[in-house]
Amino acid sequence: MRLQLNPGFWVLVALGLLVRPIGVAAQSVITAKKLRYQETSPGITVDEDLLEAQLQFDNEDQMSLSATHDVVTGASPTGIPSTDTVTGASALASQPAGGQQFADFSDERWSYSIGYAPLLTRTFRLNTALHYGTEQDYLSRGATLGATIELNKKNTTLTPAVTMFWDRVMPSNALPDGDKRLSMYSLGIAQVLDAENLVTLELGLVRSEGELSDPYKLVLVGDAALPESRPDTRDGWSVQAGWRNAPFPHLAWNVALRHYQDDWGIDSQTLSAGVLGELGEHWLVELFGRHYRQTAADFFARSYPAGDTSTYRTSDLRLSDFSANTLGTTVTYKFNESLWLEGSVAAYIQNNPAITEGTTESFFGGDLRGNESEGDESESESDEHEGGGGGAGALLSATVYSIALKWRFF
Amino acid sequence: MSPLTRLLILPSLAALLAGCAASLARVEPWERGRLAGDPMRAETTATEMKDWGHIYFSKEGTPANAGGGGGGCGCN
Repeated sequence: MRLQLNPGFWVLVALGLLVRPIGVAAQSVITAKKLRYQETSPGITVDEDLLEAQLQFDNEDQMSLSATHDVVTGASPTGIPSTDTVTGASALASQPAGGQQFADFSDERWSYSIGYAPLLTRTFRLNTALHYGTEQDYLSRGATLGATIELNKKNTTLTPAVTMFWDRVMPSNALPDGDKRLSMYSLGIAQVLDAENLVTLELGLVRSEGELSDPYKLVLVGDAALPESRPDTRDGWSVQAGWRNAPFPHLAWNVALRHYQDDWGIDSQTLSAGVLGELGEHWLVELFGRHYRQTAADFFARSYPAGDTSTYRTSDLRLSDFSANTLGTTVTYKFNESLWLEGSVAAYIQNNPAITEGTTESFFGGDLRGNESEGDESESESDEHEGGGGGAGALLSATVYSIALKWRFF
Repeated sequence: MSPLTRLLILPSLAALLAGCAASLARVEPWERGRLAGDPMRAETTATEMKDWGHIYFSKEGTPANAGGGGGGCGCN
């Protein structure tokens, strides 16, 4: 029902349908997907609708269109330790693991992308794309320029790309608007080793500039809750190596390892793996997993002492030291070669020593976006969550469900 | 590291690795049955999906891969 609210979504659908009679050839796929990301309470729920078309024309030029709609509701950690009444350092010291208060919020995100990739020579494809996204308090505009270069009888593929985003943050609280620019440079290399093995390497550089602080995160300095403050630049680089192997005709597995580090002091490692198998003519089953860990940003702290003079401060748990695991499965039923139905379920669990059950009561008595407090209702939720306990090493846990229909054209 | 140095790193590595790759075994198109099968296709696997990229970008401290799931505030 929500899809009917935005005409842009249907413009993309119409574009996709118009393109079909022009001459879509092999390798074209249209995907309609619904996804739900649900954290355990207190946490957020995201309902997502996605429509995507990846089209290849008779002349082998490619076009991609995508529209995504997210509805986000729930509560997220504020950065303020979850004490009943924050009165000073002694109260903080009594908190077992620096668990945080939660604040209610809701948001809606629309995101569009359109790409065109002409095949300029038999071995060189130019990749271009434009991105546009809106949230209630955020505007994102981006562009990608890249290429796909085939070498060595198509046994080696290079994919250099530059992506830029020019974003604007428009906080719904009292904080001023700000601009943010994101520049990403990447180079992917895929190498066929033999008839069963493919290895990949991806190098990336990312630079963020501008208003990089989260306008809804606070830090506690002595007794005072203040907006967080992050540096206005961030430089990071990453390297990812992957391996795909098909030991049997209908079975393949993949594994990838990624290292990232930046000048905020965050180092992260990601290990992901999956096994895919075809069962008979109609079924495709995948099991996938991921382990992630990161160090904290240099300026992260659960709270700051009174009189602290640090230039940069954050208590955002995403910049803390933690690990996370994902485990999931996807089952696809192929009605025929053209029509696939895909269902997926996965668990995402973050093991973060700074999270406890928390409370939805905001430090200011209302939510951080400046909306009215829910008064008694909020208070009763607060009691309920505090009753749930909490403590060192508590988990952030989410479940992700999705269902998708794919039309493939040959 | 200056911006110019940074920009030169990727093309230099590309040239180096592409040069090395030329000496590797070559698999002819008719030998690629398994490589072209659905279980080996990157777009079939969950780890390559953009929606997972956006979830990780929103909940963790590592920025998204270029072109994969980025965009948006990722606030809250």
